[in-house]
Amino acid sequence: MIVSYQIFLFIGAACTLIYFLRQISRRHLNIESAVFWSIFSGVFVVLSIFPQIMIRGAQLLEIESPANLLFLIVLCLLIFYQFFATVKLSKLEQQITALTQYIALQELGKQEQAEETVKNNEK
Amino acid sequence: MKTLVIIPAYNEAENIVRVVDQLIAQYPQYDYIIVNDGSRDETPAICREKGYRLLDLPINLGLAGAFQAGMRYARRNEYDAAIQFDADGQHRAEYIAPLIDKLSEGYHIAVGSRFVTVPKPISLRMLGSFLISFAIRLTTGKKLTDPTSGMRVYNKAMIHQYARHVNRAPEPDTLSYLIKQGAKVAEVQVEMDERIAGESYLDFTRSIAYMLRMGVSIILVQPFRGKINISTKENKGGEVLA
Repeated sequence: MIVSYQIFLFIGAACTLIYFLRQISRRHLNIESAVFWSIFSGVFVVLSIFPQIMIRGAQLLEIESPANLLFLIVLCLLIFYQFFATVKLSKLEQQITALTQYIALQELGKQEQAEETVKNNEK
Repeated sequence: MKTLVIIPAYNEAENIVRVVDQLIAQYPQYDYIIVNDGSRDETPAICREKGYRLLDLPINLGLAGAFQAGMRYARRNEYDAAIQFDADGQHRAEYIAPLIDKLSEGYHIAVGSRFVTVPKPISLRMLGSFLISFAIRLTTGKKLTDPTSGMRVYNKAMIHQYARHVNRAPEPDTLSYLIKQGAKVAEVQVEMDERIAGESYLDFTRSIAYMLRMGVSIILVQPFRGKINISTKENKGGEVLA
């Protein structure tokens, strides 16, 4: 690999890592999400310093190009992450729905109770 | 039978008074509840002013969430039957009684169908209805002539189902799932009116999207959902806040 290209990749990976870490602290990300993205971007920094890891891995798995192996890993990882994100989103939607219904039911319950009291007092 | 008419309303200021006043005047024997689904218009204000019984959702949840809120109200107040009744005036209250009668015969759900005795017109609009009917027949063996009809009456076990579980939208796919789980569904011939004011939610593109979503859900998704016992009260999984 051309050295200047490797430097370019390193800078890119490092910037991504720094950007993620800053965003994580600024946006108060959950620890579990923060850990995932820190490792995810950290691995790229390591790979930009030691591209031999990918080259060796591709040789072992008999994948023609190290880039293909990288794409494969990243794609699988992101697809799974995206899937579990939608699982989480579904759950959040259900929780918001339940809470919204709960609020409305409580409000109406209070109102009905008040009406009942008025009725009883009239008697 | 203690019956609750659930009227989900989203931006129905133009229709709500006519529909509800007519229901109260002609059918005082039924209790009703309007579920305001976070309307942005005057719907909740009108309901309060008129003194209607109103379940006021602070945000918009969509029909499924609004209807479920009504079902949870029905469950809390121990109703024996609950009916979904449109706020736009499409449903006629005179058909509530024959639908309730079906529950007395032992059915879990009674659907107000436009096409039991009247043949379904062959039109582009009915294409979706044909395909959803076909999908339900394919997966459950049950012939439903008007699966997209929103006028459905539910018995106590079904109130429990809808009130306590997630993924119970008042849609044909839920119907197919419940049929598979042993729910008995009857159809009663009804007439429906065209909506008088406001705009229908389903335009052409949305109709197609709806049809595809229902088709995929009925054929591919519903068969993989867990088995439930519809007669017992407590089921594991998918529980929502009581």
